[in-house]
Amino acid sequence: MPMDRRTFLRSTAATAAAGIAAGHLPPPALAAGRLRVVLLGTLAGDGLGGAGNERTGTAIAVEHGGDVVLVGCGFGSIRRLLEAGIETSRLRAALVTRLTFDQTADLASLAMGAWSNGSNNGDPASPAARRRLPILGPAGTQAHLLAYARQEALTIDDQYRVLKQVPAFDVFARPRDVTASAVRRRVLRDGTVEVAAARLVDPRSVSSGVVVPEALGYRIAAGSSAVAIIGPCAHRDRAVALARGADTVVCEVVDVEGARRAARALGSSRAQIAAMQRTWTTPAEAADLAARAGAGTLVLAGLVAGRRAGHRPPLAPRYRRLHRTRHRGPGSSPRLNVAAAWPPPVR
Amino acid sequence: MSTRVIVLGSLGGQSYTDVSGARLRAGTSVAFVVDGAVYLVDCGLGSLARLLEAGLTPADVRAVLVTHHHADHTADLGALLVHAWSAGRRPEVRVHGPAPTASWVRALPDVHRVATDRAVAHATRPAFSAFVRAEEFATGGDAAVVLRDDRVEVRALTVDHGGLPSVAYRVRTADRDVVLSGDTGGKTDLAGFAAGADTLMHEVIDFPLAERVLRAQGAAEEFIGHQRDDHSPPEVCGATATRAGVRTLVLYHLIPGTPGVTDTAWRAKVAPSFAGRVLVARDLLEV
Ligand SMILES: [Zn+2]
Ligand SMILES: [Zn+2]
Repeated sequence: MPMDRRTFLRSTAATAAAGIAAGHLPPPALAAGRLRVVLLGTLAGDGLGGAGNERTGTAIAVEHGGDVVLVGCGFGSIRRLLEAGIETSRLRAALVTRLTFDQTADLASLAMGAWSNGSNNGDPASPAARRRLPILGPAGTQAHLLAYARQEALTIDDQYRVLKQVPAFDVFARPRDVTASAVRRRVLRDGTVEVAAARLVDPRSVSSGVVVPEALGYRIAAGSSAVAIIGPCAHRDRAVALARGADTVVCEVVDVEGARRAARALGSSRAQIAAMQRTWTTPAEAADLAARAGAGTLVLAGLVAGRRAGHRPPLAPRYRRLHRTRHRGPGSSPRLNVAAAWPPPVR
Repeated sequence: MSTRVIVLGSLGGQSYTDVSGARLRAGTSVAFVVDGAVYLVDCGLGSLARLLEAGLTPADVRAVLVTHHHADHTADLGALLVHAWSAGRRPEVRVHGPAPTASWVRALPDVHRVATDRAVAHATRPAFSAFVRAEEFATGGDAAVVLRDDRVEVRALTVDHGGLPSVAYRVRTADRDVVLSGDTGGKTDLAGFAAGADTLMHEVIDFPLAERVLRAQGAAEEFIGHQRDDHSPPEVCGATATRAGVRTLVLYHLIPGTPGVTDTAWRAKVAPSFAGRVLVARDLLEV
């Protein structure tokens, strides 16, 4: 009998004693030297994919040893993070590529959840009091977190003063606007992990009059291994420069046909859609970008207009086809992974 | 007209670890689906993903009832509201709850200003600031009606839960009558409020177990005291259900939610004080 995810969840909970073991399905990790990339959420765009959707908002965990850098924090990201067995105490930083719902829906709650997690000792001299979570994103990231702290002031105060959380919330959560230039620049170093950022807004989009969010790309490196993460509206040349020499490029791409349909359903005008479309990175363009950067592996993620899990089979082959069409010649094309939904459906 | 009552998230507290059970359970949230309209009681961490898994969408949500503003009850509320707006839901969503619900809703557009401004520029949509309506009510009064429309009638009772104003809700539809305790300590008696309901959903803590974990983590006495005084042990849940005369008791907001404490173990703790049907909540359980 085929088992859908819902049945799976019910039966998992029903056999609760075996639950942890049963829930411990290995995530579809993509090895990249000593960096491990886990696609927690692969759905981009403002929508949620409709009822029954099993993709959650964009979120990518890059692991090195016990340290984790999270890129993107769309809805459901923290749920998936926990399902993947990554507790928030392992987070060294949370990064967002742009201030859109698919990157930020869970971001403030991540700050709150990571802060609240097992730190109620009231002792300013304890190791717990030294915890910090850098939160980096384009201009407006800091304002987002500060507005959230004002919104939750009473709750935060209750947890700090009455429930003895350490350190104070604003000491723990360290939002910072990255006003990077087009050239990649180091923005964070924690132990052996280094994060560089570059501003990737496509000049074409600015001239077209569309409101395109400020967009950053990140390059996360440890030792000789590096992963580049490129948002969906990236200036191609800048993205190539950021990704050059990385083992793996994770690129958010737009399913143009699906995204146009979604935009029409939301009432966007023809002119608005045309202007937006000029900024979208297609799978073929992503392939080109990864090949020029010399990356060994290209991962298509952040599937704008990502389909329901049930519709997933047609999506991956289509992306593969688009990718092959662009790169027919031997040796010109990096290995391709199309992001799967996590967790994978149970058969 | 038939009502579905679906547990979206069954975990209590803000410890997001394997020991707390956060790997399997989303944070507290219960959905009432009445004739296609969804009414949510609380919106804890991960409940938005569960809403979709339950076959519902944020655009279906008419109203959210917040029991209190601890983050294990509100973590996904902002995400739910921006996505309901983004999906083109009309009319607005109402958020009912005790203080600081009004100021929380007032502050919401500021938190999501960049993302909502951009979305407005791309499609014909009303301003986000007009989309969420706060329905804050005063606490202290007893069993007042806080929401009444063509599908539901909801009453709130003030409960004792430490520092933040907190309530229990009684949700009545044409075919269901369900009381949700919210977070409440032993100083509140819910039996009168729940009398005659068909189901009592009661938060529960295994305090001896929680205390062992907290002491091992070096938690402050104040925090351990909050767990002891402001949450309910199984025998209080059972006794309340017995005195209220409900047929079904649902244990939810489990602390801890680890599979280490089995459903059988929870039931055994309630059995001496309640002879009716006992359900132990899990995500996506329909009660
Ligand atoms: Zn709670
Ligand atoms: Zn509480």
